[in-house]
Order: sequence, then structure tokens, then C-alpha cells
Amino acid sequence: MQVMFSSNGKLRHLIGAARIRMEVPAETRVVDVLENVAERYGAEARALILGERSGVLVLVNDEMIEQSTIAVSDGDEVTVLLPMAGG
Amino acid sequence: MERFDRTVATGMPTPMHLTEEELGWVDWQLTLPGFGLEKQYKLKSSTALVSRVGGVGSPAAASLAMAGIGRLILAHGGHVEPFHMNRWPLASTEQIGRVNPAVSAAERIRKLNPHVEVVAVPEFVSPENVQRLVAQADIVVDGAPYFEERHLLNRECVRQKKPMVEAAAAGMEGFVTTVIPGETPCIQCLGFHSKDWSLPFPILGAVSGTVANLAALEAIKVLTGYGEPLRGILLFLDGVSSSFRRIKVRRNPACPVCGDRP
Repeated sequence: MQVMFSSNGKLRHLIGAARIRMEVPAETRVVDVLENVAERYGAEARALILGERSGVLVLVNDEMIEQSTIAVSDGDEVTVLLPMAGG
Repeated sequence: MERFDRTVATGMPTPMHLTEEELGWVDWQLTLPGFGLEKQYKLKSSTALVSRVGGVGSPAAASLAMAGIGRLILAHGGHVEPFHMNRWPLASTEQIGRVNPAVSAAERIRKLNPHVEVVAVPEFVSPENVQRLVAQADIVVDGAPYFEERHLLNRECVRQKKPMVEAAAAGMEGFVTTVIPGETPCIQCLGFHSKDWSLPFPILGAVSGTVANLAALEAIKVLTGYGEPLRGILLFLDGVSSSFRRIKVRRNPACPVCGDRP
């Protein structure tokens, strides 16, 4: 099945696009999508997505999720929103 | 355009607090369907604390002043610097290196709308002053460039049950959401923090200004009851594609700041 992955800020620049399409197996969980992106885009991306130095919002279809172990469905969009404090 | 009948619209005479001159200032917004004198009076009776009058805070403060808010408390330490000038519309060239940003913004706002009471606090929000500053306000607009300062204000707003408009911009992106203690998620619920965040950050003034005016709009909505504030919604601006995303955010019942047992 296919899912979309989107991000902002530095992660978006590392990936080179605001949104990418990903082919994933059935029964993929949100955390699997995050691992997949972290693996594909290197250590800096991994630190931004899964590291503990920043608190990120993880969304599915523009809705904040509490557990990244939930499964994704075909056509879902998983988003990692990096924090910003610019004023 | 048909003139707005102030007496008929509210069913009561013009409040004594709003002089004819003041009403002239906001004449065009009084004709907004459903706004009118009642909402204007609520705005006139309100005080907003704006934390930092930078790229987000200064345009937000200006919009609140022009809309006719009664009182603004502007908190910002330091001086106006050259690198502020790409996004601080209330600062002036001759003030660089000499004038405090809160004082600078207050001077300019008094010229934009002399009916607004403006209090310049030449300090950043800190553990020493946060309780006193929040206590004087009906709403807080948060435009600080550090997570620690934002979380400090968040904690105090939740403690005092004061609404806070949370707005930030960086790069070509920004967001706005409104924290209503006990009802919506607070900043701690969102988990936003970063040990790697530092200044300077890249920013275009048009992006922070867009976020700022959305923040002012939120404050006006909350203060007047007009329209629908971003309750439980984080509005994310992508300035690259000029698009917005409405993101549903949730309260964390175990939040150490606003949770059921903080």
C-alpha cells in the first residue's frame, strides 16, 4: 500500500520535499514509517524524528496521535512536525 | 454603504467608554456582521500581554491596537538591533542600539491608536515577573524566541486560567494555536521543545507578519466571542506553497502542567 510522509523545517530540507510517497507493506505502523524515513535520510534525519533532543508532533491525516504503534492505512499521510519558537 | 446604527445594533446606548472619536477609529469594523458595539466594548475593556514585540509580537500588538483593544502590556528587554529590522515594523532606524523594543513599539502604537493604553515593560518575561505580568492581562500573546520562555508563560497562564495565543514562525513556516486552560491542550501537551534551537534562525518578515496577524485575530476572537478561535486546532502555515493545514491537537490528561492531576 502507499502512504505519504510530510514534514517541516530542517527535516523537510533534508528530505528535499514537503511530501514524499512511500510504498509500505500491509500492517505497517506509524513507527515503522518513521523508522523507514530515518533509515532512508540518514543520521541527522533520525535524530530529528526519533531523537530525544526535540519534542515533535506526530500526526496521521493532520490529527495528533498518542501512540506511534497504531497501524496506518492505504492513502494515509504521516507527518512529523518539528517544533519552532521563532518570534 | 449604509451607516451603522449603534443604538439599534446593541439595543443600548453607546457605552460611555467609547467616545465618538474612538468609534470613528473603528467605524469600518463595526459594520462587520455580528461584531458591532457589543464586541467593540469587550475589546475596549480588555488587556493583552504581548511577550516580546519582535516579528510576531509587534505586528500582533499593532493589529490589536488598531482594532481598539483597551490596554496593551508589551514585554521585551534589550535594544532594537539592525538584524531585527527585516521583521519588526514598529521599530525605527534611529532607535537602533538606543531604544528598548517595548518602549519603541509603545511609542509607535500610541501613534497608530491614541485611545489604547500602552504599558512598556523593558524586560523579558522571566520567573521573577511572569506572575505579575499575566495577572494584569485577560489574554497573553506569546511570541518569544525561546522554548523555555514559552513554557514559562504557558505554565503561568494555565495556573491563572488565562487564555494564551501561541504563535511562532521560522524559515518559511509558522503556526498559531490558542490555549484555553482546562479546555484545549497547552504547550506542554504538544511536547514542543528542542535542545538544538538557537538564534539566529532564518525568517522572512512576511512570514512572521502573517503568523502575527493570525495571532491577533485569535486574541480578538477570544476576547470578544466573535468567530471561532483555534480551540484544539494548530494552524500551520507553509509559506513556500502558501497553504495552511488545520491540525487537530489533543489535551494530554497526564500533562504535568494542565493534566487532570498536574
